[in-house]
Amino acid sequence: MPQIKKNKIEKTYWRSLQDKMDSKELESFIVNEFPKGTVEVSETMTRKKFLSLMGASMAMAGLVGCRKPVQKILPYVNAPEDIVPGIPNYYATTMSMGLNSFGIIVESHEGRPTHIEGNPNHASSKGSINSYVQASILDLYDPDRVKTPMYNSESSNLTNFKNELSSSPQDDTSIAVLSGSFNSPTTRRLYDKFRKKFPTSTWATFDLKSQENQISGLNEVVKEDLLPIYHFNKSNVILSIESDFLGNHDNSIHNQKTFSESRRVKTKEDKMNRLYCVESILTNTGMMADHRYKIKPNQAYSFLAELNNSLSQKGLYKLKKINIKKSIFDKKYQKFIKVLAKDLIKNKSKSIIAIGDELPRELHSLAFIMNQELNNNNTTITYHSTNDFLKPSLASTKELIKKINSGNLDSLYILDIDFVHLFSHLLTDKITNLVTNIYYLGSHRDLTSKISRWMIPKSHYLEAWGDATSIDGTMSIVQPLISPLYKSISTNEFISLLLGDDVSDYDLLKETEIWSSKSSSVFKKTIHDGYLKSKASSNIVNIQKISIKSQQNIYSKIENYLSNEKIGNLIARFTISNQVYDGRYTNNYWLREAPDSITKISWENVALISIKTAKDNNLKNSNVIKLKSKIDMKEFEIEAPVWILPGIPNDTIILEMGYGRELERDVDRNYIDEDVLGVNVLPIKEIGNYYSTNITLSKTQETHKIACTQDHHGLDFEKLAADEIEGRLPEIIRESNIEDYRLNDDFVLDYDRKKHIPDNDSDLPSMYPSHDYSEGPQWGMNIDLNVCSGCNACSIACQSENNIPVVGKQQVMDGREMSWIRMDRYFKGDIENPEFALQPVACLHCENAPCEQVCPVAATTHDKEGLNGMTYNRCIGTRYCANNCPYKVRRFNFYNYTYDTPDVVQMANNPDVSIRFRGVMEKCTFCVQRISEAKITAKNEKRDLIDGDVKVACQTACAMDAITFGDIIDKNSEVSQAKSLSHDYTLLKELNTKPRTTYLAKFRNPHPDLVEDNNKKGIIEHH
Amino acid sequence: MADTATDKQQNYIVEAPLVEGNHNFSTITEKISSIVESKPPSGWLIAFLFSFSLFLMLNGAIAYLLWEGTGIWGLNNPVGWGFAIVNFVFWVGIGHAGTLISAVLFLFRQKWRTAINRFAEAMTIFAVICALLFPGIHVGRVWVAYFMFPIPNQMGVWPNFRSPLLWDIFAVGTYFLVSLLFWYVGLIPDLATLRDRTTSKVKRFVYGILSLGWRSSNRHWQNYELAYLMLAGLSTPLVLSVHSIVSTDFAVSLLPGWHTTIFPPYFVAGAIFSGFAMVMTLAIPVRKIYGLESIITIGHLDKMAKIMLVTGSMVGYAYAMEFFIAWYSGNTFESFAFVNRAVGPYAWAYWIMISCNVIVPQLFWFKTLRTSIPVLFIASIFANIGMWFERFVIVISSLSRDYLPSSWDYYTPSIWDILMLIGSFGLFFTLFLLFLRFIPMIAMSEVKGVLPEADPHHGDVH
Amino acid sequence: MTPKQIYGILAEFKDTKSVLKAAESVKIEGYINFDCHTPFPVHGLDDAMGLKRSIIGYIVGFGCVAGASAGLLLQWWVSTIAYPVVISGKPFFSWQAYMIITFILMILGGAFASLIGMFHLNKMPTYHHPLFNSKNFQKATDDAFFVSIEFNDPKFDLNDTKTFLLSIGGENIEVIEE
Repeated sequence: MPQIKKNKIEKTYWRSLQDKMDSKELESFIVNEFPKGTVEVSETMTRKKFLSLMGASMAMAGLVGCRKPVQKILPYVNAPEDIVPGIPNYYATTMSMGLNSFGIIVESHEGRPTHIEGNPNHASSKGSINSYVQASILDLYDPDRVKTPMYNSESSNLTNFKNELSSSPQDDTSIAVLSGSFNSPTTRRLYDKFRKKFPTSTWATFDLKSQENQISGLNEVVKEDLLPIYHFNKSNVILSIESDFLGNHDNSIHNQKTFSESRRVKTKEDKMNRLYCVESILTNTGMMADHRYKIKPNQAYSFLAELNNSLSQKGLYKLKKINIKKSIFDKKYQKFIKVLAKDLIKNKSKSIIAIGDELPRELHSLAFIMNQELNNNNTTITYHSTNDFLKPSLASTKELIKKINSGNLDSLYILDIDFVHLFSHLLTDKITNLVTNIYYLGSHRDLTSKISRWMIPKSHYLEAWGDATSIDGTMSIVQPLISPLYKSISTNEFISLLLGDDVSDYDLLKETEIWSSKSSSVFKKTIHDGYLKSKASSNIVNIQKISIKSQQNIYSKIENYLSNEKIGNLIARFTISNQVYDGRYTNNYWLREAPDSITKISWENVALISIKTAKDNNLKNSNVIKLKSKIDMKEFEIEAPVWILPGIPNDTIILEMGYGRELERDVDRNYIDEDVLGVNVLPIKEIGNYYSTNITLSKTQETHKIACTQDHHGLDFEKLAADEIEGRLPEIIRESNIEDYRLNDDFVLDYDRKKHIPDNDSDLPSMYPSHDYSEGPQWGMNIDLNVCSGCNACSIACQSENNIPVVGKQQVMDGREMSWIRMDRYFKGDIENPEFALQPVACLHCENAPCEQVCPVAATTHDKEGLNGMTYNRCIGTRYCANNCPYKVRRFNFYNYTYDTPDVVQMANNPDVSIRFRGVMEKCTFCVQRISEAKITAKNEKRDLIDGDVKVACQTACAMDAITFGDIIDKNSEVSQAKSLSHDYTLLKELNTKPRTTYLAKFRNPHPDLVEDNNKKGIIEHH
Repeated sequence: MADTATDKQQNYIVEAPLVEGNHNFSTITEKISSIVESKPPSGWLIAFLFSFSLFLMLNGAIAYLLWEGTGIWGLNNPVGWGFAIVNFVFWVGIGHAGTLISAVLFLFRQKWRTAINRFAEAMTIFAVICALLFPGIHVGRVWVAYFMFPIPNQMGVWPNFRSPLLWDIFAVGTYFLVSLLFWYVGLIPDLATLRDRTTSKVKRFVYGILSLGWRSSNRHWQNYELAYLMLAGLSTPLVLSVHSIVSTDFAVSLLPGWHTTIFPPYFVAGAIFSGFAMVMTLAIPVRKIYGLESIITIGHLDKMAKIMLVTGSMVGYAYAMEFFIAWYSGNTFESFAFVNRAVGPYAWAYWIMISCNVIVPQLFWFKTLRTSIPVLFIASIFANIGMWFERFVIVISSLSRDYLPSSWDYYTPSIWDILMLIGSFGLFFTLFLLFLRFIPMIAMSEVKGVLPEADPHHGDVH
Repeated sequence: MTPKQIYGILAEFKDTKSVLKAAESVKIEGYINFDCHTPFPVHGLDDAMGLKRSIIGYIVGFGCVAGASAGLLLQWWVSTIAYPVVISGKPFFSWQAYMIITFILMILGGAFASLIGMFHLNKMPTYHHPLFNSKNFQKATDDAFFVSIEFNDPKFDLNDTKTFLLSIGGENIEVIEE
């Protein structure tokens, strides 16, 4: 392999193969190295040949990077040798995140992974994904990844690094490693080996979003390291305390799947779970709740304590009473707690109390005890041993920091953690003066890389071999889809280098006991399936009785917390971002641009405050505030723009972490401003605490423009508009309390009937006879608003499947975001305690499409299967169709957004979907490429299309299974079934557009005793 | 015969003369031709340089537009149409007065039209040129705009004749051609006059070509007059239909605030209103600079002011009616759309429109104001501003807030929007000034035709 | 030098009234190929010269019909035969929507017909005409009125016609050569 020079860096990913395609050297290599019966190179390079050659050489690309012998990776459906150009292969692999890991199926075109879907058989993904997993494919093709090892920020190579490692004699005590938690058996094996080799060294594990309190909280009681898995499908009543189990949660996919099972309503007979949510931030879970009560971050103690008391009062006598001087909650909350307790007891062994990860351990213990007394443990909640995991440990991190500050640390190995971003404010001096050598395995040239002696590029999980364990104990294989694009190595390889031996990740994997013990056939099968069948869920720990003693001291802990708690008047609450997670997705533009499902803000983080707080400090949206805090005698301050959000507690400032990570970038995109980073809020956060009470707020004179995709100009709707929206929403989003629905099951028609609109679309008067669509297949979609949590997975999936461009903050501010699926978010009720309604809107494929008749060039027309098609190369861009679309789902390429997409990012594009040029209108196509693919397959197999042959991208992504798609002529198809339900309704029916996408109404399941508290009249909508 | 002559006599006495001062045929020829034949007044040169530089600026802006893309405008997702379409509708509207004066008044035998019809028609043509510019450049892919024409092509695809935009192309295109014919036919005799007066060989040749060998033969006059009458007869339904069709761009869509059947008549009324305003704005300085007060008399201006009063009031009535119908229909989307116009984020534009189009014309109830040059001039300018804002209100306010509140957004024009609006005026005035310079701005033969002595029985009785 | 071909005789009259009279008497005298030249159409001159009504009206009528049917035909053919696509679920031949373009093309057809018709009947365009040889004739587009009698008129006789024109009040009479 020729040495890559710095200026050639961009050329090191496989595209360079293509550039070298006709060079003798490559030809010879291909000819010699190819497995028999694949592709021969002919002198004349026809397009077909060229493609197949590219494909084949992809599969073999490992050879180019001559780093290691290529191992066979087994595709999900067919063997890798037969890469047929244009026909994708599907491989099973695994993405681990936090302490969990998700089994995924990756679509690979000519050896180029392009799209991720869930592995239907994998316990923790069940065929769906979340937005992070979906977007992770873009990270693989991130043009700003580090491309070669860097020695003091100068590009170097691995050999030098290895030499240095071997040469420098290691003194245990002066070595420290900083890593995140991990669940990979192999990594764990290497970790143990490391500890054995360097017994006195420090190994700190830090997660910004940490499960530690959860684990240790359970440990207090059970004396074992456990993580809970909730089985919402078995539960009628669910209480979430600060837990966003449907959104930003390690096990979110499993949660969504099971939750939607007991949430979905098809007939009057169906039961529907009831979700209570008590939280200080606003989460997707909170938006789903039937009863959401906001508390201040510090009030979780009191709340659980009082709940505990009224539970014991109402019959759980085993629960010890907690002495509370006087309740901090008002009547409304008192009542709520009583009703809640009653409801929980009523649904003994059919309820769940879920606690937010970041809450203090005592509360986790207490919740566990309550669940125990409610007989939820082992029934609706199972507990799983985490012994094989390397768990996050705050103590170890603090110790590491101390060690660094003490200055007697010689070499610090950082495994993919932006140390400077996270901790620099905790150091007494510049890190370089404190630690001699820093070795950093990372993916970006971030602040940490700048202070590192060595920066080693980390392989993306689609580039490396590995393994992972899910919380439920499922063992999964991580198999590479593509050999490293750059000169990067995996975490395992890095650790093995530290251990002095240099083993490839594949061998490291094979050496691990669970794999080495398997016969090669089993191993192959595991690779093929993506996970190990037998091992599944064997790590369940059955919960026995709890010792009284342990209970006692938990109660006393809580009591004495309550007795000497002192609170400043202002609280800052820190939370994980829905876009950049803990900062690792800073350079993932899909996630950055996808508007936060709650605030609708894209690209940045803001300081969220309630309306009252805003009034008290006379703040307006996008005013910049200065927040000061004192942490052990040190002053810290940050500046952040404020954004007013209904439904969050007063005198509380919600700050999203993970933003403000500075990266050095190789490419500069025209429409994307790389300097938009948001604010790093960590400096004012005390490490380990999720809220801080000694905060002072001061208003500055500046304002900062915020890109918000809904209600573009913030709260300042004049009364007129606010009232109008209030009046419209009952038509747009139709909903009913589940009880009322049982009495009146076609309530969705009430509105229409009031307006004298006929019940059936077909009865609407029209000047023209309607077109005949009786010939199948006729494609249609249904979206169940009752189980949509607005998690954005669908829109990111759509973006990945349909090559939707990213347009950057400025364009979003100008109202030109391109996302085909618009996630509408409305607030209902009073501004202080709103209820929420979510509605994903993409092109509804109206049979009488208003967009079509106004297009002068017939660029948008109907096909015989009822698709509203866009002919991109016929479109001249009059934008008339968009104007005439009552749902405003059409997106216009105001600029040539894709012209400067870096080559490597283009590799993430789906070759089945064309890229749109400037001046062209685009919109949801019902994934027409997937439809044709399915039709071709069916044809080849000489059979008719059957329901389920076509699954559109958003549908598969949705873990709530809210989206159904299929042939509406076939009365038995899933979608026809959904459409036949009595609460299926048409959006803006009176316009007689006859959309093919219809919605299932939203239900609320309030507790009868609390209904009147919910019945806020009318609906308001704002920002 | 004598009796009828006396009647005529009487008529002349009661009816104010259409041409003041003691003009006869040759003085008229002299007066009007000399403008074309002699050097232009310095005022002309300054005006020309100014408007020409604006025109150049327009070209620059368009070049940048084609280079960068539609994104340089203030458009966003709900508001897909902005200044470009507003200007288009505005300019088409301006055009109407020309055709109206030349065609409709001709049919009604309104002799007073002869003084102003020539440059009213010229104005029409130039306004339509400005109008046609905008649909051309506002599309996203200008280089394939020809897809809109029904041209046979190897792709075998054809345009969609159901689209109001296509109707526009045909209607406005036809309107341009017919106005051009009408104007040119009217020009032929005067071109002949210039041909016969000129001494330079070159000019004689050019005018000779242009006047197509006209020799004021009565056998020609006979066909000529009938053809002219026919053209007038055709232009009248055309001019009424053109703005109706332009209005279908909105009326045929289903946007609240656009989807109203009242649009066609009220667009036409508005068009005539703005058209006459523009004629006035042009006529007043022109008659001053070229000393044509005796031919374009205060009487003409007075008559135009009356027409503005009528049409302005019609427009005002339409505004009121929209509100009533929106409310009466009981359609909440509709009624909101209109209330939103009056008090929503674009209320400022709405009230500019109301005060310019409805209130200002009411001044013309008073003869003193109708005959005061400054008042007329200022009022006419206000009327034009008002009519531009009417289109702005209709296009923008309806788009920015339609059915689903989640997609509502506010539109703010970019600098390029504004440059192109100003630039279009540059184009218009450049063309108009060239016309003043090189073409007789008043139809000589027609004016002669309305002189007393033009009547064979004139002065029978003494 | 070869004798030039004579085109006819041109006589000037001082005002509309006299040219009207002159035209009448020329007609009565029995001349056929004669013409009057006036800077503007003079009321009643057509009758005086005994001209029949112009046929342009029929030409225009034909143009209108042609334009309209061409328009409707085009739209029908395109939307049902050449390129039938489902648009907004409407019938291929949605004639209601096609009326507008039909109407517009009717007007266009008529307008061109009237222009072409006029040119045809007036034998225009032409650049030169014998009458242009007369210096005096240039006043015809300004303020003078003429009667011209052509050589190829059966009754034409150089001297008689001259005297006749003088007798009916013609002034500066001149013989026009081709």
